[in-house]
Amino acid sequence: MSFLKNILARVGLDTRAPHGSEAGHASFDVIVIGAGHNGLVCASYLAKAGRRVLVVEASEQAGGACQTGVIGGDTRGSRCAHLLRGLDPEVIKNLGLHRYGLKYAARTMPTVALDYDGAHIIFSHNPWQVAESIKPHSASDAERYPEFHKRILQFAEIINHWNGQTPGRLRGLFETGAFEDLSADAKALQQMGARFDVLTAEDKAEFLRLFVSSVGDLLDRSFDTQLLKGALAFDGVLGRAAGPFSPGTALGLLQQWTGEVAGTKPGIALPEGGMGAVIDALTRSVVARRGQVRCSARVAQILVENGRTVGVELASGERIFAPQVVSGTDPKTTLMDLLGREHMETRLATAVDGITQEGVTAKLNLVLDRMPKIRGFDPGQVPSARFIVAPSLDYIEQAFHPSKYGGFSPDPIMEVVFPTLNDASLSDHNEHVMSIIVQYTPFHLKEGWDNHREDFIQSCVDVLGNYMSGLGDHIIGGELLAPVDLEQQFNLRGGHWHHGEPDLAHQAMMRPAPGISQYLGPVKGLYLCSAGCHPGGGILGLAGKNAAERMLKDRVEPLRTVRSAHKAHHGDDEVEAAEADVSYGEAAQ
Amino acid sequence: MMDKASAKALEELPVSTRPADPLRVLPTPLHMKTSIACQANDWTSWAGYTVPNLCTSLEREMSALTRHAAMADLSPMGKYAVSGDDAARFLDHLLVANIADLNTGDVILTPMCQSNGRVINLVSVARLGATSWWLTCDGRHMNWLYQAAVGFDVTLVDYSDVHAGIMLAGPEVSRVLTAADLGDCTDIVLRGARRISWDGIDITLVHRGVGQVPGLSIWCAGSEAAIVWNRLMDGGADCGLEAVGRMACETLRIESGEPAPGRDFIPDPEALRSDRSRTAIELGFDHLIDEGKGVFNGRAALLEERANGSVLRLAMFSFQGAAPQAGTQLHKKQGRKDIIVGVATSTTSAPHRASARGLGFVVTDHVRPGDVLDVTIEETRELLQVTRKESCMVVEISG
Repeated sequence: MSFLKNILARVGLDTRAPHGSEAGHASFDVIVIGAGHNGLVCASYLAKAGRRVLVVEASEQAGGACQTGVIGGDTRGSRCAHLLRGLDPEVIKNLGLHRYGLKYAARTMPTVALDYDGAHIIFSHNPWQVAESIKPHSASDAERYPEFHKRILQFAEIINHWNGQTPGRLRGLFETGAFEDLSADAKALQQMGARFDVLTAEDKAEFLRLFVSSVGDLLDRSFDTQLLKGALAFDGVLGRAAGPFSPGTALGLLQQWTGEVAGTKPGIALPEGGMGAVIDALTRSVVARRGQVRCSARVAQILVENGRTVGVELASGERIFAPQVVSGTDPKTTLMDLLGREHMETRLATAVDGITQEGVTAKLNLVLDRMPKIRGFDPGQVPSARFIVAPSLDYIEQAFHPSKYGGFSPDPIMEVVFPTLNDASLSDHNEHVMSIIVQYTPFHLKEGWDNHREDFIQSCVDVLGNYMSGLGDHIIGGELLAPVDLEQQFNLRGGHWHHGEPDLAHQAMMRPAPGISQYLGPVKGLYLCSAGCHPGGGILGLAGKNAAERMLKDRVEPLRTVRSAHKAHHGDDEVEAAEADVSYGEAAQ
Repeated sequence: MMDKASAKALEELPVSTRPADPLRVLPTPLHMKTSIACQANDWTSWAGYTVPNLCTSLEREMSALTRHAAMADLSPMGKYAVSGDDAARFLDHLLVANIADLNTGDVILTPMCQSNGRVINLVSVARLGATSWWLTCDGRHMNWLYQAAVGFDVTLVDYSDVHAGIMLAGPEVSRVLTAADLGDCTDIVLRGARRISWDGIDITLVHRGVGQVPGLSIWCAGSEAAIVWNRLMDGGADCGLEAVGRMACETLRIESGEPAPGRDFIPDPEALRSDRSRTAIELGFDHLIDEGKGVFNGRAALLEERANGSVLRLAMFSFQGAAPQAGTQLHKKQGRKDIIVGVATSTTSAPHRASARGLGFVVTDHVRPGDVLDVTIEETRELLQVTRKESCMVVEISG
């Protein structure tokens, strides 16, 4: 790691110059708000293009919802997001993330749909293998599966193509209403459809149908086996406040299947050292390109002068100036709180206010003294896989219901990963980490979260106990991160993983909200790069990449007349004090 | 035919639970008063309410308006109270004019725009106190105000259906006010606004001059409107005060060149295609747009229009003969071709003037003030449809 230290020292020396601003001069070309994965991807692309980039992060540690931390005793794990399902291969390649230390502990993880009797269905990228495991349940479903798999992957490829692009801007529909703009809108929509050409006429119709239908309907049309349908539907509803029969969830399934890891589709990978390793690699890639990452620097306000963005003001009162500011924090917080209502016109403010942002996904991290016995697998033969508890569509729908009314189901649906099976670096004492995503956990629990945490954990452990005997006896520590905790600890507004509900009304050119798209903020020089933008949540890095491309395309007007100099406001002493806090990416390691 | 018992039961139902009747037209709180004044029994519908169209005759009413004093029912107007710490910031955001600059007691007529700079309506804004404002307009916009208030600390109260409004206009209005024991408020005839208690009745007085005619509007609770009407009528008995209908008010409006929603322009939310509505600049409010003011609805679009010039502008016409129908196109010869260069959106025969007047829009590239344009007038004469060609002069173009 000495090369890294050298780089850090060099960057450190370079940045001894005051990072405030002299009147009329900006020390940076771009300020990135938030060192989450999208913020860092954006920063790294911009730094690669030669821009002087500063990333400011509110927390002590970079990463946002993508980080490795202590979850109990000495044992560490991915506290929030726990799997890589499609960090874009192009992003990895362009930014050289493998070069900066990104390694996989497991790269083609299968998915195991847990069956009470041990007849699990095991999903992998090979559909014929999957069919084998479906056979004990239904021979006809096993026969139909490979065709289904192929078709979903083909559709996912179209979504994947859209994900990598900046969607058109529907100015006529959402902004001006003028006739000529409406014709331009039609063209933009037509361009989206151009990708359809690879599909047969029948598939085109099916794709359009899938776009708006529910994953439950899709699966009921395709298969009979409840376990198979439950496991596939899980992907459709993951992270969404929607049940398997809610419209738009079929699209959710397609989006989850877009992921590619090391050439495998759909790919699921486990980074070595937990999800924080992704952030470490990204931070290194930013720092190596002479960018800076400052943690414990919460932005209080985006500064606007004469209708253009000129920089940010930190909670400490320090002002940093730059002609471009890009926000990796969610659009609602960025626009309503940091930018301020007065910089938005009514239609836009209403649209932003209308973003639904109450997460329904909790994270339960447990430390186990040893691996539990999983029904159907010989002890010691438990594969490193993603385990899913979602035995049927009805079961998922039942789990969904209480969450609509501020309650949680005693029978939740869950995704379980044991990262320590592949990654011994996380635990010093041969303990195991059980990383669990619990879907349909309301942000606002009717009776309040304070007195119901134990009940919640108990119901999760009870349900898992059906498949893993004696699980309760092995638990020696852990933490529950309900959506309220995610908001507090990870700065995720509403505890929402996707920075805004990815429903049909908030997709593509309508994401984050109708009238605001293409990563452009409402004020000149302000950009958005969070998961709240197209293509949405998950550790994809595409919002960051697309935003950076957009920013590099735009002409940057230098800050000629920045009226308020930092020193004039705070004096020399405070500038030095602020410098002492600076950490150049080290905090993330 | 409904029997008496069910008719009575229906009457006793609270208003909100009565079965909705799309054909039902509501009486205003002043209906009892106006129906006595409406000797011509000529009524018109305005925003779902009935108001007199003519009370006596247009000649007599115009004479009262321009020589003495006249009173009319304004109750169908939209009325909103805005208050709260952010009220000035909110209104500055919502409306085109620079609102924060207004002092207590000031009044301004300003367009309220969509983000594309197209006008939703014209709003009269009166500052009654440090954080208290009174908005009136010809239309209902609570939903829009509510949306615009997102993120602002303001309280919005819709008085549209519970408050009544009375217009008082004419050269003798000050005398009427003095006679009615409102001598302290005669300054409002020329400018300003105030909320006072008038012998136990809370009223809001807002300046409302129409063209050359001085005047004001008085707003009060619907339940007390008849008393206010009576007091004014009694006070104005010696000043030639008369009740007038909507036709006279419209005539005065057209002559003064004030565009109106639904007549001269389509309020933007009602336009099927946004480019059929009019921008604030096209309506002649260019002078209110302040580049130094922060973001307000329509700012970017209006500044762009100001830089590039508008295609259309509001104009005042004077017609040679009788006033043509609203919506009549105005032509001009260009070489051999006859091109359409304007439209008259509202017209009046103006009995007290030599020629008929009209408001409308002209294409700025083709028309200058003083130009004479051709009008084709279609009318029925002795049961026959005839077409005659006349001319009209462009008296004034806004901006």
